[in-house]
Amino acid sequence: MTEYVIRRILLVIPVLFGVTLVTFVLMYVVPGDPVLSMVGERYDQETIESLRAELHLNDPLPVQYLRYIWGVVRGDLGRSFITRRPVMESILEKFPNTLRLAFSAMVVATLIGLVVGIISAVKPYSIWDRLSMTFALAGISVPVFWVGLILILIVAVQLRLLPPSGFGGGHIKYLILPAITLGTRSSAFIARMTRANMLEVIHEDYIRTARSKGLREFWVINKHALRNVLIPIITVLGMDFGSYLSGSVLTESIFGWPGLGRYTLLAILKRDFPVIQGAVLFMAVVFVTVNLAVDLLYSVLDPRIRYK
Amino acid sequence: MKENLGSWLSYGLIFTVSILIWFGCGGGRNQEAKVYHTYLSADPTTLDPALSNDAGSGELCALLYDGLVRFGAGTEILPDIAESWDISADSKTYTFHLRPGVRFTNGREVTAWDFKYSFERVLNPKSKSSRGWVFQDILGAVAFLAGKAEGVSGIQVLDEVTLRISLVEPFAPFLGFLAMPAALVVPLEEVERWGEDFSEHPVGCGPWKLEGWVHDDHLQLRANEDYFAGSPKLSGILYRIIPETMTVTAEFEAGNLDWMSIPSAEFDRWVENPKWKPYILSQLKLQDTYIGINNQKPPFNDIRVRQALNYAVDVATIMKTIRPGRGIRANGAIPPGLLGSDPQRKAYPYDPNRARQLLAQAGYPDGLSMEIWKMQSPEVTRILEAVQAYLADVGIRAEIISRDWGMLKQAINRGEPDAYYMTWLADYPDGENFLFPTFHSVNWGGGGNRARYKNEQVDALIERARRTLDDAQREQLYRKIDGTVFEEAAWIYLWYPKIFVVHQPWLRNFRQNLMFNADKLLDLDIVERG
Repeated sequence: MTEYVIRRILLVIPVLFGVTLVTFVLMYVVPGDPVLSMVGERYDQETIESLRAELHLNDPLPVQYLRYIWGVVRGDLGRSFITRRPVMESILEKFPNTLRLAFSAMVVATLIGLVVGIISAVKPYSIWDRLSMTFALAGISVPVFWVGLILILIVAVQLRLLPPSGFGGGHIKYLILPAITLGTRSSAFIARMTRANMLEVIHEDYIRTARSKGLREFWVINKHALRNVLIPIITVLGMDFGSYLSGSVLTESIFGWPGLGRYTLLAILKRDFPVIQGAVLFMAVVFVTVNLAVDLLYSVLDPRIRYK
Repeated sequence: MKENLGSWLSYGLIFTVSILIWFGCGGGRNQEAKVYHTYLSADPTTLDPALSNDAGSGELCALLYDGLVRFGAGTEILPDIAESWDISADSKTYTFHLRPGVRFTNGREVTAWDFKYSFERVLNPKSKSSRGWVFQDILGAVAFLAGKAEGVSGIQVLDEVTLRISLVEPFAPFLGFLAMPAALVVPLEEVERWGEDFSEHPVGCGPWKLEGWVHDDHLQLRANEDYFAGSPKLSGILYRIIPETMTVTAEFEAGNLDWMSIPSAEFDRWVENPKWKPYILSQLKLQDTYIGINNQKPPFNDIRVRQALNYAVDVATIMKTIRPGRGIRANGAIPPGLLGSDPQRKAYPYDPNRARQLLAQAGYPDGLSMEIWKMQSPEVTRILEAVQAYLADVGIRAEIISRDWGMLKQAINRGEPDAYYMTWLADYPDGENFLFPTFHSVNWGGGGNRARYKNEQVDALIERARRTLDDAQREQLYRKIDGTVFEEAAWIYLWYPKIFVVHQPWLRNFRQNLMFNADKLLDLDIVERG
């Protein structure tokens, strides 16, 4: 197991190296000049040339790339061309917010998804099942921005129960609406998967055995059936969590949430190369870490899975 | 089974309630009575005046810093730290007399040396400022910029409170340049202390001080009680960063914002609501909305083709249907209210027959094909789709190309698109701002003349107007230049936009100014917040 983990961690190095190289090349291939984003609407050519020189943008690409990699090795991701802020500082400032939102969305998705899916499976073809699956279908079909705006309109503007947007200095009540908005789609997927897998599992012999031993249905479902349903759900959760950790542009924009997604999107639009590089590299690290964690979690949930 | 279902429901309910209790406990946003709650759609790029080149950061810099002069509510230039100034007989030398006793928020008194330092800092390539052009008319600025001089010879400190600025030649809008964010004064010791992080720790001498900045979330400003013109009436300002206009509306309706710009999609709902009518203000912006035409690219290098484009589009109907009441039809580049705008000049009428005739005369009786580039925006798409339909009516097959801002700007500056949808916002309230950058041939591309318009006579007239300090003479020159370019149809002239804002009943002295950085928010007040 330890050897497996070490091997996986070592494999991360070429992956990250590849990510930086591909991102670097892509940035220079895509049209758009970062210096034009820095200078506003009126400028002269001398200013452009002088800024290019100051930012070393006239150096050959391999030189620029090696300079960047040398900075990365030293933990320096450079400064934003636009705001002049250190990229690492900005990412570390925004990542806890993104993590907070992603984790809360996962909690919402898991709670709602599992409960709805289980209710649906233990009472198939009932009114509960139909209601649950209608919720699941709606959750998958409805766009995120619509869910967000409707929640703001009803919960914040009409009922005035929660603030419409903002980070609120980290206060937890600012998190509820964005978390529900972001988690809704995942919860719908989880509900459908839980129902499908649960329906399969509850007809297995070992479930019949558990029932025949006189166990209460609650424990049969919770202890014996659910555990076997969790493997595919963990996969979905892992993938969604990874993507939430790289930022959720729509949810962040609607709720004015200071996360990584909007930060990266704006950098792409303004061709802010150091920010794009830093954010993509950081996201790559997050993805490989989450993937590794999910793989390890499989063996915890299913003792038959062993890594060598 | 019913019992089991009940257990599962209870299980879910307990979790949900616990989560809600956990999430919901504690206080909310601090709605301090004398704090003005406002917003920006994006985090300001900087709070360093030398680097400021967008409206958001310019507005904030004007609150944190002061300059020699500042913009008034209209086109007037008011004294700021300079309480008076003299202009030499040849109009090339300005001598500013500074108010004694004005202090930076670190306690040090502002002197003429600070202005010299601040202006030279903008010109210094090491500062990575893109606003060097603001000071390029000063004697010795070009040599300094090129690294051929230690300082700018035209900026002289006569004593601690007297600054003399000598220009290469007379330049009428110069005082307006000095009211721009780039000309705000910064203390050398703080800039050197913080280096590239000065924007995070701004020290100015304006009526407000930065108290906190959580990037992409909010900025808090606190009143500078030692401000030379007296402390602001409010104790603080909370700038929230809210990118989505629908969210802004929700925050305003919830009473969390003290004002908002009325979004296009909700225009009727707000302006027709009797509850809000008394609190709605409108302001014509010093801005052109136009479709730039590449004047050098055949067939658009033919004046007749460009005129045909103007006659072919029914701009009045587009305004009426897509932007009712939110603009004035453009009859030139200089917006109404500015010296040089001509209320007598008629906008191009909608005349498709005249357009067809002109196209035929130019050698295109069967019409032509063209591309109109634009940035991604639903409203711009609607506008250009209407333009496309009108052009099709006279045989012009227009294709609309959407690009992100970075790509669009690069392509336009290289002269690639046939035409492009664009706006031009004033940096200073003078007609020159709508003529020299936009139509003088030295400014092709990034300088502002993105249409690549070239007329040597117009170039000469613009240069003459810039040197003419007499307002009446300058007005005549501006009108002549604007009229000539309009006649030669450098753009498809659309409109001068009007913005509408609504404020909460508890705001007092809330104003809309011609320039985005005019208001220091000194007399803005709040009474009994609802």
